Amino acid sequence: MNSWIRIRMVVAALALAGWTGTSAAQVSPDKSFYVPQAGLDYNNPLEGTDAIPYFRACPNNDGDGSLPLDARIKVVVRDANDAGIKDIAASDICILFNGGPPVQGYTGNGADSVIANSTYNPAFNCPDVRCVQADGPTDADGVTYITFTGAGGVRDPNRKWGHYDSVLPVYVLGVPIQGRITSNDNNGTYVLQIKNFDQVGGLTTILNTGEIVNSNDINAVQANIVAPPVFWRDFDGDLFVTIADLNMVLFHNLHRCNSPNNP
Amino acid sequence: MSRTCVLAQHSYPGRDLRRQRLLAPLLCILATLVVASPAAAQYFYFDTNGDGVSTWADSLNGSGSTTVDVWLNTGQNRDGSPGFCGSPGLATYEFILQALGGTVTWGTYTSTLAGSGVLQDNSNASEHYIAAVTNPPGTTTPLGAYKLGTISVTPASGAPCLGVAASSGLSPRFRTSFGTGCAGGRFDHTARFGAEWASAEVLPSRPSAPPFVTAPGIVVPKYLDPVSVQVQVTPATCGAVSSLNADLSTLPPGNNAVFTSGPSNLTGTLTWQPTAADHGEFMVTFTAAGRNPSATAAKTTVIHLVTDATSVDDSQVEPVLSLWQNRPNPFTPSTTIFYSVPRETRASLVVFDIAGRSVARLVDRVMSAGPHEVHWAGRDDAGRTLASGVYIYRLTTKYGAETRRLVLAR
Repeated sequence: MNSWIRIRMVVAALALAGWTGTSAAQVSPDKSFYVPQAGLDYNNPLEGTDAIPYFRACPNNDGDGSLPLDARIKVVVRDANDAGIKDIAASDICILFNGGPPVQGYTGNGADSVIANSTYNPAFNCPDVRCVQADGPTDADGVTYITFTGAGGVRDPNRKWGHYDSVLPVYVLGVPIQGRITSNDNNGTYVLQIKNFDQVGGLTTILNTGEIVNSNDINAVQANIVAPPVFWRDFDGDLFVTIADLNMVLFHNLHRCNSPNNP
Repeated sequence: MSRTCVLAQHSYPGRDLRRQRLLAPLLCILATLVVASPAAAQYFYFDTNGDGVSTWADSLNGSGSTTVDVWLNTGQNRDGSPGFCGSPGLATYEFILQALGGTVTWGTYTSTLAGSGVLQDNSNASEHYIAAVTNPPGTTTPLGAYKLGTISVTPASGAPCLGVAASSGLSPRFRTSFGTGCAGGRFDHTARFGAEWASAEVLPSRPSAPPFVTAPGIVVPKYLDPVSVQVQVTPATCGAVSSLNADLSTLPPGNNAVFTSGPSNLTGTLTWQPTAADHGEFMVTFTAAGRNPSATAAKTTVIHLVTDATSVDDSQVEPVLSLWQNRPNPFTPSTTIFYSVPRETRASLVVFDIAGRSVARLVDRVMSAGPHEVHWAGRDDAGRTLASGVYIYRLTTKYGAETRRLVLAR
């Protein structure tokens, strides 16, 4: 089965799940939201602009500056009456990827970008990432988290992706929900984007060109130090591309799906 | 010798060459441990005489250009402790040179290490920012001390010193750091310099300028109370205090006096518990040395111990009228006279020549009860330099008067 067919089926299944859930409590896209957070204390997190600088990843999901401090989103699922919806399964709450660009045969809902896929990275331990799911089901207040590196901050070897440069949509029971820069802001004030140290290549059908940090990425960041800053290369979120950003890419040089951690 | 040992010996630039040689074997072992548990750090330093180390002899010329080698030790703090950041070594660096106390004209910075070279080179009259890549991608340089590059610096105004700044006024993006990467957090490359970063090397224009020592002229503790004397040292501009010591030789035999110097030798404390047998005046001299160990300054404190056991009662330990011998004596160019008055009173302290003529009125006002001191530069009331010779100084209050002699030796 082609990947694009699989993704459509997944999306359809999510939508169906959302539909079947309406008999008890329907997810309200107006009342539900997600918020960027970081910090090991989930009860006292960094939030908003204090958390976003930690939203940077290595294709190996190997820590050391990749998705540090349990970088995550807090997901709040509510119905139209603003009441939390509890016990929504973790697998029904997703950051949705769609597999790759159209030239690679991927379309549909989800980040329209290059992410880990076994079709174009067959020789390496690259998972087919489609749904980065929640850490657990929603609680009584309809709250759960999606910790990017893995549930509770534990590395999940099936969460490895590389270059992409668009927004990551968040779905609950097939319903897309919006982001808030902080819990007290309005819906639509934030969209989820996770920078990746692999930010060059992989957009074509050439095998094994995505999901690896290499000299292409290093040179791109290095060149950007003396040029107007590119958002995707400002890894520490200080609004500039500096040698500190370059250092991060250098540190993760040659990191890919199966290295340094395999899987 | 292994490369590790070479690096270890090379990682202690400048402080004390003799100690460095003695410690070499230990450093070798330490460096081995460091390599086994890699750390990254920690400080920049300057070298102007080409010996690869930083000593007090390295300085900026007051006029004309100085060729400054910029070095970075990536493995250890200035005190020799290993850096805290678990990074494998050097692949990039950025630093901000800063002219302190004046402005400079910067020459061209020449990178010494291989790699893709200087990424950025920005400057104004007081700052110079350099960012460079030292290695091909994916490779790093082992921990150690490295000469990063060379730059010519010429004073343009004032008497500038040269330092390394953590951040710059040129751009908020400019910092002082090095990489490649550091586990954890936000890769804060300034923080990776650790506590020792604050002591970043400064290149002075007057390396032999002595510090300034401040200590009380006289202390009069209650009977059998412990003695505590606080000393403060102010380094010369852009200078440092290489040592701070106290001469306790004048204290009674068997005394338990202890002198402890504080961080960077900027403070010191003398503590002493006198016994019932200790009485009289004891003079302790505190001496501080600047960046140049030969550039010293001193201050003497008189410790006056009362004798009467009954004086434990506060009402009986009031200061007495006292006039102590000036220090130093003979003197040139200046001396300090210590005195004490029993209660708040008008006091006069006048210097007379040997013929009895008043030549300098040093004090003539109401003084609070207790010990005081006055400095005299050997000049008369008109500011004229007095000739060498014997002079007499007299303290007069309504509670009495005392007289002593001093010798001016020019």
